[in-house]
Amino acid sequence: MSEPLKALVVDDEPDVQLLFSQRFRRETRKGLVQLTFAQSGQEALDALKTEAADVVLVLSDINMPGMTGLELLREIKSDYPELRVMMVTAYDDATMQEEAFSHGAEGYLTKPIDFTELKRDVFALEA
Amino acid sequence: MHRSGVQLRTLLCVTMLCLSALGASAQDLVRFEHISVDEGLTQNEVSAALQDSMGFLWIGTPDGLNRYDGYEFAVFQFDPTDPTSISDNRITSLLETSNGTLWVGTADGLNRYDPEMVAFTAYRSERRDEASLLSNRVSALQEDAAGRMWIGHADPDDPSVGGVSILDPHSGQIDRYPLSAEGDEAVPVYALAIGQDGVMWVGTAAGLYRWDQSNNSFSLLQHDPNDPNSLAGNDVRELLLDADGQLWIGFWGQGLDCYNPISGEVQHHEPGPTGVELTSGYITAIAQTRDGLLWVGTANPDGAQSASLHRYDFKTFARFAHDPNIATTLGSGTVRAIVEDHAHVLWVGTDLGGLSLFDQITKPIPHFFPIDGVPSGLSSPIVTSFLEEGKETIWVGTAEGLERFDRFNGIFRHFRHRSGSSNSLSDDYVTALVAWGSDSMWVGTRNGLNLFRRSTGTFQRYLYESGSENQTGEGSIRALYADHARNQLWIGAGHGLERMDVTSGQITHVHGDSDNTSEFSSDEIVGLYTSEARPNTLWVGTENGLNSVDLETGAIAKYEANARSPSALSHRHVTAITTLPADSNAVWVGTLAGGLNRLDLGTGKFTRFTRRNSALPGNTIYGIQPDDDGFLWIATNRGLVCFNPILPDEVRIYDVDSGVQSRQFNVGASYRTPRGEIALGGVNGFNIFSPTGFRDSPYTPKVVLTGYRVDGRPQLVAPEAIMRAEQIVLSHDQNDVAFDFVGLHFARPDRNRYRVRLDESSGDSSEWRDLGTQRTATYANLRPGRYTFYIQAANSDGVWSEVSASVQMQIRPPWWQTWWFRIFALVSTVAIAVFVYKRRIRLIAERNRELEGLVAERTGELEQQTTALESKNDQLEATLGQLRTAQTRLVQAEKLASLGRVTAGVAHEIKNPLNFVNNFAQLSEELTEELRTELASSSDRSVGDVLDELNPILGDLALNAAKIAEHGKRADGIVKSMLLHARGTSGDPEPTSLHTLLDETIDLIVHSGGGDGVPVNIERDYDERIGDVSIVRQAIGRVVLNLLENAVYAIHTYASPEADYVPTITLRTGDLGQNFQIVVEDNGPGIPEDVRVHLFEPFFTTKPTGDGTGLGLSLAHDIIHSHHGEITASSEPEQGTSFTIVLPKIVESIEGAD
Repeated sequence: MSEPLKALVVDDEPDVQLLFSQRFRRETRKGLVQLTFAQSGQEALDALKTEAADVVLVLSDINMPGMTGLELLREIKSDYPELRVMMVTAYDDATMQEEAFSHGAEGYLTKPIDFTELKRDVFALEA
Repeated sequence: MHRSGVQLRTLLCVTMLCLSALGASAQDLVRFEHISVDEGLTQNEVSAALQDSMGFLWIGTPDGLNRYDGYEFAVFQFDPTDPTSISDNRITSLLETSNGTLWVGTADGLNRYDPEMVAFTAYRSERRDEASLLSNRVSALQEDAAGRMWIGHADPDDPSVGGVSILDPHSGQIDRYPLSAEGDEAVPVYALAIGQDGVMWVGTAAGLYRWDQSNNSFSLLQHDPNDPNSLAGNDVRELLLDADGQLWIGFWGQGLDCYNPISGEVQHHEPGPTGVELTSGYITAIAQTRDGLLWVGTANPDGAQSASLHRYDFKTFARFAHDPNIATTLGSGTVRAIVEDHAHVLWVGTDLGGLSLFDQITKPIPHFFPIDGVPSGLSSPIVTSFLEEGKETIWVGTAEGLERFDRFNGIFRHFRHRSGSSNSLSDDYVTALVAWGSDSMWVGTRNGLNLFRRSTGTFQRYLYESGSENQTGEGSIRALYADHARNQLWIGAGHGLERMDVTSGQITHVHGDSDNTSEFSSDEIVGLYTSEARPNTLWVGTENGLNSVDLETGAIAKYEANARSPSALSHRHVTAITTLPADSNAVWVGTLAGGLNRLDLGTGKFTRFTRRNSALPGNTIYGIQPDDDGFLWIATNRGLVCFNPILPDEVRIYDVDSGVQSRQFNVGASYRTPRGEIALGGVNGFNIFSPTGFRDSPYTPKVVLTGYRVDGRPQLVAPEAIMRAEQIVLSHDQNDVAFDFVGLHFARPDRNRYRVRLDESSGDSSEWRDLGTQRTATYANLRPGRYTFYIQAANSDGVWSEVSASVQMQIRPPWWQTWWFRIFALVSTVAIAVFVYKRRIRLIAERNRELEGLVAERTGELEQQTTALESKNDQLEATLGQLRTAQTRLVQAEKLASLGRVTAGVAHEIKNPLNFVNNFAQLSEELTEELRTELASSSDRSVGDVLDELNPILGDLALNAAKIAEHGKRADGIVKSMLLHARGTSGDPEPTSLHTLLDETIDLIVHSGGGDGVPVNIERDYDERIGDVSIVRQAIGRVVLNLLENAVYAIHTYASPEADYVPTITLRTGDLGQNFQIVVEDNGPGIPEDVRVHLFEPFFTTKPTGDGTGLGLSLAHDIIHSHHGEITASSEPEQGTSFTIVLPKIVESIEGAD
């Protein structure tokens, strides 16, 4: 079995963790995916140093108290240039998108999350 | 029993005693018990008896058929209204065929018994029907090798009735054989016997017929006066084929013949001297017991002597007859039936005395007692002492004289006090006997001591005379001990102990003075004892403790009783003392109320055995004697006990029904002969027996289940039906079951014991539950399941049957506990759950769609309203002051802009909850699909496995549904607050929670991000003393919102020179008594003085053109003033800004609100 794809999901909404866990239940069980969760930018950065040290992908919300998603993006890109970061957010305007991409985001997904699309694009998985 | 020479002779001579018309005082070894109408038998006239293979005893009388189980009689009688009842009450014969069927012959028909239906099928004779029985009168029954029933017919009142009918029970075919050549006169048939060779013998009034199977022909044997080797007579009444194949033929008047079928030799037995030959030639019954002895009943129609029962040991005929004076003799009347049952009990039915039975295994204990009218018998029933003179002679002391018992002849010779004869016994009440020398015997009485010399037959008296030293003390003598070595006689009396020097005759009152009790425990001497092992120690039992005297030193050891101390003597009144040869370091002591004690001579401590801690049945001990096997025979108030000191819980108890004289013995009346026989005296004569003659009956009872009761109601089934039934099936509410059973062993049925066990088939086997003599076992509240009920019984000797009777029982579970129902319930529950979840998801999804539609609708509506209002206002306000119009318009625009911002923000924020709702709903749909798949494939898996799969899925479903609900509610809340906002700021003041309002406003700002997407850090500083205030909610909310928006804007556009600048807005409240204040503070750039002046002016803004209407603060100002409040701003450049609102807590009315 090949290495599972490890990802860190950052969102201040606690239910996001539940949602992702359920959505990726099969994949997790088959060992294709391994997910870690953080509820703030600071928590995410801490995790990247410890339990999420070997993630290859970060999915982050933008609208969070404390460190915003964009700030987090900047931090990550400065410390871990190889790390793919995708924004998953409710903001649907072009300005935000541009800002995200200019800071090095690899992708920009809007809520409500279409998991089929997510799985297909991001994880290159059969959804 | 050992057939030693003495015992056989005793047997014979005792038998001879039974012959004498005067009867005998001895009771011989055959002791009958009786069952008659008193016990429930229908009539005392017994005509037939049989024990069936189950163990029940069937007894036929002229008044119906009885079935006895040892406890009760079941009676079967003719009932004209019941066609399944027996055909007639006059039972003549009984037979159990090889397949276990019971056939009953009566004076009016043959019956076959069906035990499961408890019904009789009758076979009758129809005169015109050649295929029916020859006659209704049945006199004999037998089964042949082919399984056919042979029925002999005879009528004592009608000699023309006779012949044999042969019935095939399977085909129903009946063949008739009148056995006569002359017309239709049949020959009366009285007896039938079948040999091993299949030959049927038919005893008739005209000779003996032999039926040859091979050619189906009859050949006749008759009496030939010229041939001594022919039959003795022609009137054959009884037939028996014995174990050696000899045919015994009983005639009516000509005695008994023994015929050898092979050789043809005949041996005649005719009446002769009693005890040698039969007493009569009229034979009424013949039977052979398993020990090979032949039993023959004879009648005396001429009444010369009473009818008899004979026992033939192939040498002589021993006779047993009824003796009206002795209850344990044969019942009265003529013997009609003799049956030996499985337990070797012999049953003899007579025509006047009911049933007499005697247990051939357990011989009764020889018992001697006075019999009226027998002068050579025992004089008095009160026996106190014994002394053996020789093997054939034993002296017996009684309350009415001294007896010399000649055991060989069974004669008692009496020695009495004769006033006027000074060398006769001093007193009739003899209390103690002890041998002295080879010729003499000391006799203690209630009044004086005697020395009896056998050679002269005279008594030398030693009487009490006051003042004389050489006389015995006053009072009755209780015990004597002869110390031959020292030539002394010890005398124990009621006033103490004395010692007599025999040579001189001097008597020393050793410790006898009633004043001086300090050395002995008591004056009241009960017994004296010395063991062979320690001849120098005299044990003295008194009414207050045990003592021992060293005969050499005179030293006394005293043992006092202490009931509470377990190592002391258990009771003060010592009644018996003995030792066991094998246990020489111990002395066994019996007491009057404290049971048995064992004194360990080494430690000086007692061990006690009472009713409580051992199997001893009573605590009153009268006498103890050891036997050669190490057992103690103890006379107690509850019977004679054979006690094993090593196993105190295994005793054998013999009571009055075994021949023990009574339950009251005399203290000290126990004796052991040199050969080991034990004699015990009481108030009803005495017993003398050899302990080795006792044997447990190895025959165990057959256990039969007689019935069972469910919830207390008896289930009417015959025992045979239950025993043959596969199992008893009950429903779940019939779970109180009681079983009734009997152990069929007729020796002493009231002493049969039972134990039961109920095993559940799914569990381990349970323990045996001992029921004692109880014949019922009850089980209440049984759980549903399969059970097996086992019963074992022990006979009166305590020997348990190895085979148990058992019956299977099943209690069905109630329908709600059956497995199929459970599965059904589970599946339907799961299906319902799934259905409910799906429905909910659908409803929630619908509702969410509704909400989205509503949101869109409202947005659309509001936009429409905007346009409508705009044009309306254009129209309506056109002519009013342009400023007012413009102002109003702009105010509206401001509101709308604010609303629009909020709406945008809200719509943006609803995306989050909707994200969850949609995703969780989708997930739930997938899970449901999975659930369906699982259930579809669940049919070949166990419920447990399926549930293991389903449970997590159902869990997730539940969770998702909850999440959907939660986020749906959230969206709902957001829409609600947005709607609230849309409703405008007009209204009446209402009590409002200030801080809640402020929180909501903050939420709006935070979630809308002030419109820029950058999050804001808003800190709260609430004064909790402020509770509810009376304001127009929306209005004040709008104001605070505006201030916050401004603050946010200010911060966002501020590039702070500070390195770690954290843009912060603080929302603070304060309680000012009647008023309260709200402060919105930020650490932004601050407002310069020149701007601050114009802050609340309409249209004044510092934002770039197109961004904001400039009316926000002006509107805020108006609203606050209409609330009778104040709004002020203070700021310094680079130091932030703060707006302060002061409002009264209670506002009565609003002035000119927009």
